[in-house]
Amino acid sequence: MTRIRRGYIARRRRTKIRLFASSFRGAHSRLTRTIIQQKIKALFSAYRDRDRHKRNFRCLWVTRINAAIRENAASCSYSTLINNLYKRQLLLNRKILAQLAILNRNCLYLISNDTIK
Amino acid sequence: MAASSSTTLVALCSSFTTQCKISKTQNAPLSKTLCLSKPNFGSLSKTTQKLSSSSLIFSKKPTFLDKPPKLSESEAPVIEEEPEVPASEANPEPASSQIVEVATEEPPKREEIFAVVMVGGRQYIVIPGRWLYVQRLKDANVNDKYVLSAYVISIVLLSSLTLIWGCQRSFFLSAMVNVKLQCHDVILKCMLYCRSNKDENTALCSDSSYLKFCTFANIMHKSYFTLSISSIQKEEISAAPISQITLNKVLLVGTRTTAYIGKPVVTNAAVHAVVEEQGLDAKKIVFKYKRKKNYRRNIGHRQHTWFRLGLVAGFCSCGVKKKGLKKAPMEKRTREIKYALGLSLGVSRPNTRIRITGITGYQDYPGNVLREDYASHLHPENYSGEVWTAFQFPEAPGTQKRGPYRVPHPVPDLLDLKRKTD
Repeated sequence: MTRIRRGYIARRRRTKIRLFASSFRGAHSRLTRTIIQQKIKALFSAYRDRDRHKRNFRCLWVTRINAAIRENAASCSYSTLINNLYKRQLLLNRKILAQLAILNRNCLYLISNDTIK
Repeated sequence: MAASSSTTLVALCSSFTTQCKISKTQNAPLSKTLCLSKPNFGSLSKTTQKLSSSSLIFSKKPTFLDKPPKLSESEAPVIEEEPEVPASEANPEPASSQIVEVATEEPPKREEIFAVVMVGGRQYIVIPGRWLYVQRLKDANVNDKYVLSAYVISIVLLSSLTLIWGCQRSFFLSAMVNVKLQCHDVILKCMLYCRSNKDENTALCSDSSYLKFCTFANIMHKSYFTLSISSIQKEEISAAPISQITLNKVLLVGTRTTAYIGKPVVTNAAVHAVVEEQGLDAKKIVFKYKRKKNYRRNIGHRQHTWFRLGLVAGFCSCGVKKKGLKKAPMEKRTREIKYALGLSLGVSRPNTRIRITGITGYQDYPGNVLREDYASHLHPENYSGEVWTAFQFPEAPGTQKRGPYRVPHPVPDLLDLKRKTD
């Protein structure tokens, strides 16, 4: 058989993967085999964490609302606030409440006082 | 004159593949002439809105927008009501005049009102002038209205009731409606006239004394006519058409002193917005991978590369396939393959970028006024208008990092409990 070189097929494939991992640290962006593994890990983590993203932020919002509500002497806690919100049929979600807690806390207090009544 | 107009007509008509692309193709040459500097949304006024609306049509920045099933119902009637509510009057000038205060020394003066609006399951804090990405609003097309060329308006006119007419009726209707909003009255007359007298080609020319030239041509079973506007009317028709939306699910409206808390919705409150762009979200790679199966190796990456080589159908030797893919029917397999491919075939979510123009209708709703004695106990930052200053108004939406949970800066330390003043 005559000698056949594989050419640039594998190199092109690896270049694309290398491009993906070009910003990784150390050997993870330099060594080919490591790059391939790190790309898998990165993509898989991204896929998994896209759902975690939503969970994480909701946790954060709950924590922030809790902190803001407890600052106010009139209202008690996050749990009571949410309970009252549902009772009074307010549709504001935690993201908005958390942003209000940061930006316009008076509004949040107005809401909580309104629901307590 | 005839030759030039006919050549322009042919040139324009040759690029008409769909209705919606008409205005897009005309946008490019106009962008240089009519492209205005990015509006300063701090100073809200009718002129600002006009500027913003004119620059909107030329902005190609991506927006994301989902279409909620509930919102579509509220949007469909809204768009039909557009002719009754001209764009300039939708701005809540009377409402803002009561509340406008100079909160900061910054030049951008923002209307000190915010609202929480629900768009399809998601809630957003909106302030007039802010742009945001929401889910794709199907009916709110930016290109609904024809871009008014400085020289030529091309309107598709169907000469007979065909299937094409039926399909395009809604578009034509919307075009009529939208043209009515923006155009000179002359054109409205022409449109109505031509609509009622579809077969009478010459009627168009006679209707208006403003038209310098009017041609009529039959191209591909459709009739086109072009109106060339005299130079006098060019300035009047310089405003680019816009696509306005009203978001009705307003959950909360807050001003400097009052909060209108909706239970669950603030009745009659509406947030007016303008569709800037319908686009796609940033591409996300969906990569599914299971490791260390007994009769598999780590093949996620292999599969990745496998399909990249284009050997989808004939691949049989290099590595182990995913179990699901092996037995799944071809359609599902191709879908899985797409998902496994990653870099080249990601997943993009369609979106729409809208810019909020105003908040109205909340005044009659019972609101909770912030008591002065209560306010004094709280930290002054709480009512310094941070909501209105915290949101960024980037001039180049594409450059800003986009995310679904964007927290405006600066973010005060929430756990700093010692700041409370008593």
